[in-house]
Amino acid sequence: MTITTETYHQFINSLLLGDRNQCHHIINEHWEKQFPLLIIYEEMIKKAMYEVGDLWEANKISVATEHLSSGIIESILNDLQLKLKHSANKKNTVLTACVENEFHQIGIKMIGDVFEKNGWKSYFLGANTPNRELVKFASLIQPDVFAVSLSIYSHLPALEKLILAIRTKFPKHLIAVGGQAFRHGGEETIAQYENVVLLQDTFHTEKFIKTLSA
Amino acid sequence: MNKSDLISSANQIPKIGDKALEDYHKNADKLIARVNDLMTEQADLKTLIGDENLDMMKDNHKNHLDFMASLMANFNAQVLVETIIWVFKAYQNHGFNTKYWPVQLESWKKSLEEYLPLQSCKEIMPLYDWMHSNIQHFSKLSK
Repeated sequence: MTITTETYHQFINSLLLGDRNQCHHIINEHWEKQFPLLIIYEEMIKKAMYEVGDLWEANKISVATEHLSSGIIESILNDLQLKLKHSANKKNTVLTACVENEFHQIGIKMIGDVFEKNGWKSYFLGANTPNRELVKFASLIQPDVFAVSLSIYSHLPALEKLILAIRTKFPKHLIAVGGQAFRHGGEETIAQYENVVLLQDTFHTEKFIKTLSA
Repeated sequence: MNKSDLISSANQIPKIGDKALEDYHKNADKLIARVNDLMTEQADLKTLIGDENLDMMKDNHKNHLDFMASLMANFNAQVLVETIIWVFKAYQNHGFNTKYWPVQLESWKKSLEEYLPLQSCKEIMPLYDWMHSNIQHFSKLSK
């Protein structure tokens, strides 16, 4: 199953016009036709958000349109999250967040949903999470895995600070990291840390989750 | 010079030590403020950055420092080259003139000379010289 070019164009055009209802309608239609969640995420939502970024870069849309699009996408994600089948007996938990000063939270929100889809309990702390608060909250819920996202390469030092902060209380826990920041590099920074893995997209995330559950 | 030539060339930039990076961080606000001042003093600022782009220019200077600090901590030539091309493209599409880049980099160099200890400035300067000397290649690649 794959999203057709025509459908994608309908979606992105509706998104740029701020037509929330039409965007929800397109996604719901695909959900009802049992399109896999990850296909909807990768081929519709992620692709559209990258295109919105490219259009801003080319000065074809304003920051206001970019924010409008992000708002619609977030509402779609909230809607999809409610549709996911939730297992009553969730054994594993993941704590998801963006590093300090990182305000792009759509990617990590999708990652949390992929964990949920695979029977995990996900705690989503969202954008710009202070390290101290994240570690404090983690001490309360004792997650099995941390998942952290960053969209900008210059946030790598913030990621490293967060890894070190997590390690003060959780010395061996797995930390999954990802996001557009790693588009052109940054793997070598991650490779310096034990039990920190880089996940490129939602497909890799699902594979990673399955290895943990195996 | 194409992208891979630039990456090879960037790999020759001498490594910046921890003390220089620390000084760069410690003086971040002063460095940015000085660059903003030097740029706003330019008589032809509107020609350099276009209309209503003052805030965008100041954001760029803040982003520049954050990015450079990350890069100095974990140097990656490909990230440097790809990011400069992206920045050139994005800002030029928003009305910045190609003449903005040399003026901006000269302002950074002046600001580094004024605020950083001599040794730290000496270590960081080759990276700025490299960017400055390759402006024309980046301009071509960003079109």
